[in-house]
Amino acid sequence: MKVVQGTLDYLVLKTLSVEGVKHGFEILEWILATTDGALEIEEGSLYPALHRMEKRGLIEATWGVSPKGRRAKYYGLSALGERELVAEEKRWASCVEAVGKIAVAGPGS
Amino acid sequence: MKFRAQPASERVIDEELEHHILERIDALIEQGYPPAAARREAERRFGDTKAVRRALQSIRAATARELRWSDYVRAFFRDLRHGVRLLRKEPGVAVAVILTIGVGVGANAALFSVTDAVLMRPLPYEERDRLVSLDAFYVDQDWKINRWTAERGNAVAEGLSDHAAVVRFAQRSFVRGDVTEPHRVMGFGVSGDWLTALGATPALGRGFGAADGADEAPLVVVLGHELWQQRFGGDLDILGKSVQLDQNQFEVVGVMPAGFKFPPISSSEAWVPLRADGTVDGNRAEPFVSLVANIGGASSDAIFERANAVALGVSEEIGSGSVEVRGEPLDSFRANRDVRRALLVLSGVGIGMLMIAIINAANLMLVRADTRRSEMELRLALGASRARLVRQACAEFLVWAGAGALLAIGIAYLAVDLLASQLPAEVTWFLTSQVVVDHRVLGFALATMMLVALGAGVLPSLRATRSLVSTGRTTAGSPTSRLRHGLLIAQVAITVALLSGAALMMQSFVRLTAVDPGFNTAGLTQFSMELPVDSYPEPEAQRAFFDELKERLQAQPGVVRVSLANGVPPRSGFSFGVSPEAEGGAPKELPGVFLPNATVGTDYFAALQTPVVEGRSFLPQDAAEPDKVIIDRSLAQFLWGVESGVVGRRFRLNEGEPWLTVVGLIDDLKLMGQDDRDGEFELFYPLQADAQLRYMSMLVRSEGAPGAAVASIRAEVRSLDPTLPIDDLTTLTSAMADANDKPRFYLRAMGLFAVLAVTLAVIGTYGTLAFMVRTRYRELGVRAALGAQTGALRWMVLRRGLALTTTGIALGLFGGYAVGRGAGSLLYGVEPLEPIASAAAVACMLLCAAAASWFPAVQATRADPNDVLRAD
Repeated sequence: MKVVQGTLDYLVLKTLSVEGVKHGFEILEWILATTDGALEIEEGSLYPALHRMEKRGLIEATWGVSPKGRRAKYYGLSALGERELVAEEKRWASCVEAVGKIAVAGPGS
Repeated sequence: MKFRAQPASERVIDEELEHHILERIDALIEQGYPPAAARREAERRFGDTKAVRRALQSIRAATARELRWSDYVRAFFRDLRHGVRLLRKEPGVAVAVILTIGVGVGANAALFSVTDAVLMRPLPYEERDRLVSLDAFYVDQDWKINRWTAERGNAVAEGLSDHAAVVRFAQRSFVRGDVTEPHRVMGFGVSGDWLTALGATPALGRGFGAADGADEAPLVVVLGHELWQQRFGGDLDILGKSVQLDQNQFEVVGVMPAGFKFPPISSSEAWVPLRADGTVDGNRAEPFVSLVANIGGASSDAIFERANAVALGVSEEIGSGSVEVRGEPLDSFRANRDVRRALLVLSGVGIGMLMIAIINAANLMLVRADTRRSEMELRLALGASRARLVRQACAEFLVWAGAGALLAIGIAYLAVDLLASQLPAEVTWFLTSQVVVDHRVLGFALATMMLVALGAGVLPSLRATRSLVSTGRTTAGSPTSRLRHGLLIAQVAITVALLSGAALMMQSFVRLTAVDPGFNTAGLTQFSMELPVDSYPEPEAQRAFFDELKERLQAQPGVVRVSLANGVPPRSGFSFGVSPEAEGGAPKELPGVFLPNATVGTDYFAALQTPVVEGRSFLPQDAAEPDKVIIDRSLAQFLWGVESGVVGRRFRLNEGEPWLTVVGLIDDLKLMGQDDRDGEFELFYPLQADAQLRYMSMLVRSEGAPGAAVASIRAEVRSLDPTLPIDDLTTLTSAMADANDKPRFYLRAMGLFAVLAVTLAVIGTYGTLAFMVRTRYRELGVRAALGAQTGALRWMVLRRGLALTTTGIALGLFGGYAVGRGAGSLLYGVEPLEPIASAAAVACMLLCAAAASWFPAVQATRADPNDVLRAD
């Protein structure tokens, strides 16, 4: 299953909200692990998404040193990002609900 | 360094992407991929690296473009909060910087505001640029005065009236006698529409104009702000009320704003119309007038030409000596040489102080920037943008500077009031407007301080962020350290200059107050009185009044002696422009400006307890012999070159004047106060029986509490004539002290600012030196580890601190000499470079430098070398 543009933002926000500060590779791995590999993400496309979100102020970046001793750019959720996440989740919930209604709808109902 | 040549932003992008690939390769290898295959797989999974990089670059570029104003504001406030947080965390340096800016700028602005109000502020008249003073130049005598005999002055004013608005004015001192404590009011009669001509508006009421000067018009008065405040309690309903001045009732029609004076250099307190009949109250015409003209758009030359034509005509008409009109802008004269000099010296002190403060702030910030250098480098290494770091440094210093500025403004306002209330009478006389904080000066000082502080705070961070590679830890040769050394030397130099200047003032003041005035001040009370010509027109009536008063006072318990005199120290009469001539000798030029003299009663020297060492004191029969005089030894020395045996000798003050015979000789007496450099010789005349006694002083010697005589004098004068004001009723001790209020003020001002400057300088010097030692901790540790002796190490550090300080001190001594030279006549009996003063200043600075080097050196050498080495 390909990830739709826009959905990736939500996934990143959610990841950072649950896991705190992570670098790009960790974010990707967490999403893949949590979804049991159900989502297919072209790895490179994560970065433009991250940078766009950083630009919008949804996430904040800072450079740090990874446990492996490599310099890495870490991302964390900003206050704005948290608010965005709440709004996204509401949108997802209503979307899922709506799709769910259609899914259970039988002929004549 | 693969990405070295690329700009920082691309390097950062590549680094992030490369990191991802590396992590993926690690993960793949862990899953069992062979390393070579792992890289290929990682790159495959990543997708189009170039496309991603392009996307990231365009996002970055867009970010930079779209950073909106509000983002800057938000970032600025974030940095500001950061600054406040830092201040709370490490208050030490910050407090020092804030205090330095506050005290340095505030005190300087206050000091300079006084100079500004006396010497520079424009006159408080709207029309100031069009106002000229028309002075009388007596051609024969080569002498100019801004006072005309009424006849001539009025004629000149009349003749000019078509060409310029001429204001005639005459000084007229009134007595306000209908109050419990009668007092004098220094009034001026002013003609015509003076307020319009000057371009001044009363703070209250309408003032008065030409119509009020008509002969039949009701008497009106405009009060000065100070008089209104002090004698009328600032009564807001004063308009329309009646004030008795001399024998007449004047209706108050206005109050001038604070700081308004007319003429600009005077002690004017109230203004009344100078009427067409030449009087201010219909009684007697004022004998003299002065002229100020508003020449409007006309050229002053044309006006002067016209005025001279008029004056020539008047001279011919009157038929007396030729008088020319000499005109000058009203604002051409501000203060006499001494006041000017004093103010310039004080301003110099202020500037020195500001320089110390600026150097201090700069130094502290350099120190601060140095200590934060490694933090900056670390953050830069971790990818923080350079702009961000510089912005943060700016914000931090802005917080400090802002707090310092607020403090400076507060201090300036407090100090200005303090200074204004302490100004000696001589300076207030020359004030042409109110002493208020000069905003230009305050603004300028603050701006300079901000620029320097910002420079010192931010430039190092700019440099620190320029390279990623640490420049190492020694600071001995780095540009900041050289700058710091220079600043330290400058600071020490200025401080030593100020200190030795202050010490000079102190020494001079001590010498001045130790001068023997030549009489016993203890137990003496003096006062002066002016008998109004209306109620005491004849000398007989005047003498009767003073004789009766003297008798009554002498009858008071505790009163030993009373003497009437025209001239009581420290305010005597004086002659100037005289060239005394001993009989048989040639006229000699006086060394000072004045020849102080007094016309005294028979008990004068007895009351002063000044012994007449040769000849005799005045006797009652001298009251008919005005040519019998008593002189002091210094005058005898000047005239005959001897200090004794002069009784019976004759001299005269100028060629053609009557000869005076010496009947008595006294030791030196300081009639003009302890500082008698303007007139060191004394001459005493006997009070004549038929003399006009309009303005006289009395000396009362009494036993017991000095205040007792004051009370009985007041009571006796009131019982004799309750409408008479008593002037200058005070003990001689405090009168002599008051006479020194000018040097005392300069001493206090100079002393206060020197102390402030030194405090700042000590903080700064100590801080800088201590910091310099601390930067050598590591070196000291290495040396100690290599076996250097503790004592030798300490001495090495101390020597360096002292070397820097000594350079500063040497420069400072030159500066101190310059201050002493500049102060010149303000100093009494001291040389510009006094060993004691200079030694005190030098010792103070050396001690400070030694302490600042020694204690950190002890600390550094006492610590375990291992700890010191490991510390950074």
